[in-house]
Amino acid sequence: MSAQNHRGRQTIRGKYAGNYYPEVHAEIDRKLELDGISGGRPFDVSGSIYGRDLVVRGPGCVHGPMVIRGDVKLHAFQGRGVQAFQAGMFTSGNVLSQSPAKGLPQSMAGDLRGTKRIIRGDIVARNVRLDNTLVFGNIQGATIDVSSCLVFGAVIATNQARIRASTILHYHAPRIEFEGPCMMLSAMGESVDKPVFAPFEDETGKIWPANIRFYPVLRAAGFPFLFWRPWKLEELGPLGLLFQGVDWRKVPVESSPDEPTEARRYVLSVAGRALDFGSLSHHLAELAELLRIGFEFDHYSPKNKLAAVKRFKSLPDEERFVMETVCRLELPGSHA
Amino acid sequence: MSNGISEGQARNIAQRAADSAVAPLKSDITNLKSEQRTLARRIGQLEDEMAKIASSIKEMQRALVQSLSALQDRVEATNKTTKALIVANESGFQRTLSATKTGFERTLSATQQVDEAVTRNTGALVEMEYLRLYGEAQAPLRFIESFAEEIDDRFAKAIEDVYLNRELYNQHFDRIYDEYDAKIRSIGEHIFELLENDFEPIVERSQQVPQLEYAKLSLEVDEVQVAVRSQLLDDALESLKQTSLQPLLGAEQALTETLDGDHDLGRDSDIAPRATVLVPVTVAISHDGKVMDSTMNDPDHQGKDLDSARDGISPLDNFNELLTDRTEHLQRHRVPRTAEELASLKENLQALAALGYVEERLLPGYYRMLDTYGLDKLSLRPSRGAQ
Repeated sequence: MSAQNHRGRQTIRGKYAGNYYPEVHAEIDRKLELDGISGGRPFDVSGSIYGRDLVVRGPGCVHGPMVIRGDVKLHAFQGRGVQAFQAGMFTSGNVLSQSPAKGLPQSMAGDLRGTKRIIRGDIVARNVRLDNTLVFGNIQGATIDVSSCLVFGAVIATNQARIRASTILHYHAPRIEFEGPCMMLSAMGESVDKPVFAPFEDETGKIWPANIRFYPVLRAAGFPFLFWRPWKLEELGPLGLLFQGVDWRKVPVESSPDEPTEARRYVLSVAGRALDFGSLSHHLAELAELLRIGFEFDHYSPKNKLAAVKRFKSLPDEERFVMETVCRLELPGSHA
Repeated sequence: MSNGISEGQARNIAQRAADSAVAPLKSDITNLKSEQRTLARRIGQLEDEMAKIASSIKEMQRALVQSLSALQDRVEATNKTTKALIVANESGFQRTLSATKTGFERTLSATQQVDEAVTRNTGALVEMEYLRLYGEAQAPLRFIESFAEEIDDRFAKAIEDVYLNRELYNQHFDRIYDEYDAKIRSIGEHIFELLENDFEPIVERSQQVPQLEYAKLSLEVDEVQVAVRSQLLDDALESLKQTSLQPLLGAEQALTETLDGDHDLGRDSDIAPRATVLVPVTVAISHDGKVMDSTMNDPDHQGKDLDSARDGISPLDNFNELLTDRTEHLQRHRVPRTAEELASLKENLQALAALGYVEERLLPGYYRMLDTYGLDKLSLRPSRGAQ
């Protein structure tokens, strides 16, 4: 199948071999659509994509990087299959996603294996608003809003970041807001303003209070859940809990070496409380190693791929699911 | 008298004329055949014409032959006349010879004139026929020449048209290539514009900052916190050592030295070390000067007076003597516990552990100590060994 012009929009259905970019002048300003529904099978672009105002409907996979001029809209869909983007997403506009209205236990935070959208690689945009998405990479933008997402990377915002019932590696934003039960894979973060901890209201109207946990502590204690699920894990008490008044420290910094003016930053650090980092360093190192393997996997020799796959087998369930999904060993719901 | 041209000559003349007319035609036809197929039809026509020419020539020849036959007949007739004249003049040949001769000469000259006239006429006729036939033969040639010229013109025009079309195509293709180059350039400019205005600001600017920079402050804070906490812990440990541990160690050392030096209970290296139980002793002086101590539960020992009491010296001045005396007293009243008593003691320890007064994890050690060393008790009566 090739790209077809439909109502002024180039639509890619089915398999598209190679890279997609405009080959004639008339296609430069044409908007782009990836359609995995009306063609009866998921879209599959083996190369990279350049387009304008991309709209993605239905399941499919883009194996190369995506450079979009304008907005990227990721529509929700029912049925089997996932939307997988294997090499990052770069746009001058916004990245917006839609998901069906679900309560927190029914979202990706409650059921990681129900993931319908996977992005491996960095997301770089002006504004990012994602929900129920597994991101294996960093998210960079001016304003970032992630809801029920697993970001196995950093959230780097130049204006504001909002983490809503999500799990992230670390953050860097002038203003940061945590809503509901969140998880930090690595207790690191920096903001100019004091972090805001607010309750999270899910689509059903239920209120979940703010509750930030530190994943390596839970992992060391034998509870390797990548999301903090209060409806299941309340019995653990304050295990791995991060305290607002204790773990977020206000530190003085120099704004620039040339004009040293006193400035303040709020930094997340558990070094003041952790008596023995040695017991946590092993888990932190393993998480960093998984990050590295996830990005390098495609470039491994078959022997090293096999070794990595064997290593995945020894991981906790949810970590193994993430690694096998990101390394495309088996996409959830891919047997369409 | 001229015999004129013979039939063969006339035929030859006519034939040569026709051949000369046909030869170039044949070459032209051959050339034309090679160049244009369409001339075949015309050539067929030409052949028809040639056939007609041939038939015309044949007719001409026939006419010529007929003319020559007529001429010959006339000549024969003239010859007959001449012979008749000769025969008529045989009898009077001499008389009439000159007249005959004159007449013959006149006839001869007339004949010559006729002959010349016939010759001229024949020549003229032949020439006229030749010219007519030549003209007729030339007509197809001219037709062919005109046709060839027309073909040449058309061919030249076709070549010119082809050249014009080729030029037109060249112009169109040049325009197409120019348009293609322009479009490629515009697409390339657009792509580079995207690269410079969109892609680089989006991606390269974000990639210029190393990822570690975003966590740099957190890591520095972690390092500072770890260093400060490590220093605090070191200070706390040092303080604990100074305020608690070392005094305890010093007190323990002093106690050991004092017990070993002043109150040696006769530790024998051959015998398993026995546990030393400190027994608090209360010494009091009664109103009547008697020295009472808490070990004086022996009725025989009550109110023992020490020499120091009589001398008016406080018994506390001889504390060491007192302690030695009391120690010997205690040793005399020491009796080992029976197995039943030890078992009871163990049960009591178990009960105390259940109530939380004794640490349960120390019970095995207590049991082992009791089993190994036992636990003596003090009796009211001196032990049998002491007596």
